[in-house]
This record gives sequence, C-alpha cells and structure tokens, in this order.
Amino acid sequence: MRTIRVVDYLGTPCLLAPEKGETLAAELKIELQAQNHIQVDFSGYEFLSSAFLNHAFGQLCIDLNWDTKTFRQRVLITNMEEDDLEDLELAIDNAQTRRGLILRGENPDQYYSSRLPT
Amino acid sequence: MRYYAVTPESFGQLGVFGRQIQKCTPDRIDLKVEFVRPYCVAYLDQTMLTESRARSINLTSTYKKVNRYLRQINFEHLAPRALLAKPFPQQDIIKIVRFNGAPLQVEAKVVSWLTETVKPFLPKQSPTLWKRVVENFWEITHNGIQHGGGSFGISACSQFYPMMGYFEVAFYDRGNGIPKLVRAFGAVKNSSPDCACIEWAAQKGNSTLPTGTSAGLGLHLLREFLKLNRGSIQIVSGDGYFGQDGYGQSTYLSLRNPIAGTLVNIRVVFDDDLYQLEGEDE
Repeated sequence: MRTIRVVDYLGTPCLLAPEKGETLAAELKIELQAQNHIQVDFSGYEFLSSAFLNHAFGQLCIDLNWDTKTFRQRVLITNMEEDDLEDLELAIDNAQTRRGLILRGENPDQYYSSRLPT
Repeated sequence: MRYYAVTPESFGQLGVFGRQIQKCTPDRIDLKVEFVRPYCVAYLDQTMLTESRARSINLTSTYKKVNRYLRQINFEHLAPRALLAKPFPQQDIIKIVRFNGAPLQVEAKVVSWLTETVKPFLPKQSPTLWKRVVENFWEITHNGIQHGGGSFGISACSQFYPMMGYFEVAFYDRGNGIPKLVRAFGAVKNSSPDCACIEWAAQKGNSTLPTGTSAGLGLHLLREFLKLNRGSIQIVSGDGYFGQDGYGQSTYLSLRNPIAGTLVNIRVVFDDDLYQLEGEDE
C-alpha cells in the first residue's frame, strides 16, 4: 500500500486552504486508479480546517461516488488527532448527504431549505 | 452612544453610525464614545475605506484615550489632531489587520498574524486550544473573502482583556452579506427575514457553494468549539442578528438598522481548564 505523507507532499504543516485539499484529492485520485488502498499519513501537521477536509476527502467521495464504507476500505488515515478525526467523519457524512440527494435525483438546495429550523 | 456592550442593541447602532458616516459633512467624524470595542473598529475601518473612495474622510474622538487607542492599533483614517495622541504605555494593544487576495496568501497572512502578532499577547495556552483558535479564525476570514467578495477584503480587530480572561476578535467585510447570498441560492424564501438567512447559514452542512461541493461545516464547528470553550459569537448581516452566548444558547432576531456586509464578533475564553477537561486531559 502506498503511503502519502501529507505534510511532505504539500510541503507545509498548515492544512487550511481548500486548494491544498484539492491538490491532495487530485493525487489520491491518480493513485487510486493504480491501487486499491492508500494510506494518508498526517504526521507533523499543525493546523487542519474543515475546508481542507471537505475538499480533500468529502469531495473525493462525491466525485468518485463512494459511500462511507468504500472510503474507509480504500483510504487509511493515520496520525490524525482525535478531534480532527471527528471533523473528518463529519466531512464524510456531510458529503454522503449531498451525494445521496444527488443519487436520488433530489435538489440538495431544496432539501436544505426545507430543513430550515423554525 | 457608548459602545460598551456586546448586545444586539449595540450592534444595531452600527447601522445608524454607518449612515451618519455616509452623510456627514464636513468630512471629519467626531467619535463621541468613551470606549471602542474591536467590532466597532473593524466596522469603522471597512466603512471608512469604502467612503474614502469618493472623498477624503477622517476621524477623531472627543476622548483622548480613544484617540490614543486608535493610533496605537494603526487605525488608518485618523485626523491629524488624533495622530498627535501619545500611545498608551502598555504594549498589549493589538494592531488592526486586513486580509484580501488568493486563499493561499490569506492563509499565510492569517497564520502569521495570529502566531507572530496575537499569540504573544495571550496567556500561555494548551496547543489544542491554540490550534482550534487558528483553524476557526482562518475559516471565518476565508469565508468572509470567498463569500463576501468585498472590494477591501476583511478587517480584523482584536484585543485581549486580561482582567476578564477572554480574547475578543471581530471580522468585518462589506461584501455581499449572508442574506443576499442565501436568498440568491434559493435556500429561503425572498420574504424571509435576514436573521432566518443567518440561521440557515449557521446550520451544519448548509453552504451556498454549488450543489456538488462538499462544504458547510466551518460555522458549525466554530459554534461547537465556542460551546466547549464557553466563548460566544455574534453575527450581524443586513438587519439579521445571530448570537450564541457562553452557555451555548442561540438568539436570532431582526435589528432596527441594517449594516452592509457581515460582521462576526467572537470571544474566546482563555481558561485552559475548560478545554482540557473535554479534549486533552485524558
């Protein structure tokens, strides 16, 4: 299984801007064409944003039409702090909601507007 | 008007103040307040930047200490008289900053501002608390620039209040504003009040980015962090107001006077025990 060390690959421990997430996602897509599994190692990172997680992993699930189980089977996340792992779960769940709506032919915009709290 | 408090009424007065700035002649504003909080300064900075496109405009205060403070934070629009004010002897006053440009540039500037300018003024904190502060403040700045799209980006003004044990920071952009974006996205009815638009935007998973884009967690996570921290947040956009207090209670209401763009005011409590109990000390 190939390992991508995120900090080395992106050249920074600061993982905030969504563009960095997109760069990682692009590399993951290429690697995942060649192999079934990939390890994404977060050793040495300092900051991590939800925008990064959305663009790196949430968008990956939407673009590749992956459910959560497939994501977990094919992408192994290592050395990520517990709080950030929870945020990653949230990003994947959030992407699944959007993906599910698209698959059902529903308009996510209408879905979210109908869930406006009263 | 005294901008002492962090209340909906105080935020509502900003709209009145903004209109007075637009209409005032001559082009000097006399600020008759005894104390300015960071959110007032951030609002003033962007508002006067916008006004200064059409005319030369500057500001002074009736109160020397306000002039001294504004000078010390490098407030750009001071009248010559106010520039004569001597700085305060204490060195714990944090300079105002503006962010604009491409996301990667903004990221670098936000991290450098927080690490090099803000952090030295704050009490020693746990790495986890500091990490969350940087991440959340970056998200607010990024959202303000990305969604707001204002000509002058976003202004941030901050201050640590050692006696109170909290750090307050305000971000203000005079861009699109949340209500306009949320209505254009079709997420709420056009007749819905501005506060309903903010309410929509503050929910987990909601984003005005295109449908197939994974987004909409930043504000939700910020609110969760502040609940844990017992901090607070206020968001004002149009005449909509959203507040979450130190107990996690939310308030949505309509202000009498709208403001242009979006103002976000955050208070972070620097009592590490609060955060460590939940997150670190295991």
